[in-house]
Amino acid sequence: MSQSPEEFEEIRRLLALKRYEVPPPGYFDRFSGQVLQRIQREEALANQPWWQAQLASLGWQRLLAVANLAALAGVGIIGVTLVNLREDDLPDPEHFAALQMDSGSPWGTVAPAVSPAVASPALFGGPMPDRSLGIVPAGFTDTSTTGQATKPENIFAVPSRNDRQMRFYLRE
Amino acid sequence: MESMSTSLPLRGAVPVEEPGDRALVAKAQAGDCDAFELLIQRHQQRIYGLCYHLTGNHEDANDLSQEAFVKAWKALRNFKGDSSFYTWIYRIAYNGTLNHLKQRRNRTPHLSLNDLDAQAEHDAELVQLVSERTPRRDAGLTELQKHLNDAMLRLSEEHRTVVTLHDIQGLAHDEIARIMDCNPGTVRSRLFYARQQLQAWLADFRK
Repeated sequence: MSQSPEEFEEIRRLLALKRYEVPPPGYFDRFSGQVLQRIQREEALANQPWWQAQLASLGWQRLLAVANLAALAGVGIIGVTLVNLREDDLPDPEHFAALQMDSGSPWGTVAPAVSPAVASPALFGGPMPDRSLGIVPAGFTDTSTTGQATKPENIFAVPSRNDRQMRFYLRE
Repeated sequence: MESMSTSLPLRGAVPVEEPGDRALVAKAQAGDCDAFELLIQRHQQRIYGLCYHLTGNHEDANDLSQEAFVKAWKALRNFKGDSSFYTWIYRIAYNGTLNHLKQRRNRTPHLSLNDLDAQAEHDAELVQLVSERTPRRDAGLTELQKHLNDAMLRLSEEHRTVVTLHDIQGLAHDEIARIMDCNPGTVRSRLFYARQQLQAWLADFRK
């Protein structure tokens, strides 16, 4: 590998041109200050709890975007849940009509506020005056004669979608 | 505009440990930020220059040179003084820039030529080189620089580093060897190969 000083003299002179590539004026006047600021910033970050440092490293713009997304997702979930609840809880009009026809009362069958067992005379220490309106709770039969209760009809049961569709089909 | 005599290393002006460096390092190790700021001001132009010529753009060079000094501050307590602060900070900047270049390997590097110093036009040697020695006499400094930078970027990082440190920044082979953690013979062979490559790629501008 012979290398005379003159061999690459022109290349060296060309490369000297690159010495003139300098940053904008005043750049080096600010450089050391920027480095010290960066050091202070990194030291402040190092002294923070890890979660604060993570938040800071994310940056405000990203945090804002994440918060917006989370809010949108929350609103979406709540909306879907409400729509589902409304669909399932709406009583079927035909089911209501059937219940009214069974009871013969415009109010339908009303469950008592106090169950018969709780309202027994023994509990209150004596016989109570008969203030019964003669309304038999729905789904209960008179157990005084048979001694056995039949399975109560659940008046709050909501018909399934299949039932509704089937009824609709039959009416047509 | 900053004066060229202070902002650019002169050819042959091999950097030596300035008398104040050790004292400044000792003060900085004790937490003296002012001393460290003086160290930054003393070496910022060469460190920036290394990063700039290796990455090819101002933004990366700015970030990497600042990062080098931040790393130096963090590691300053471990600096034993086996080498000069100058070599040490150069090595930090060189390794950081190499890592950066590996990460952005797929991105197209670009050297910004907009920052060509106005004084280049008054450099008689360069003007002569452009106006008289090139076959394309209408080629200006900018076009010449574009070819030069394209050629530089075609070199490998190691070869570009050697050319930058020796032919642009004027460091000695031994100093470059310490910075690049190799022996001076390797520096010489890399320099020879890099110059050969550049000579071939810039043949039009040499005739």
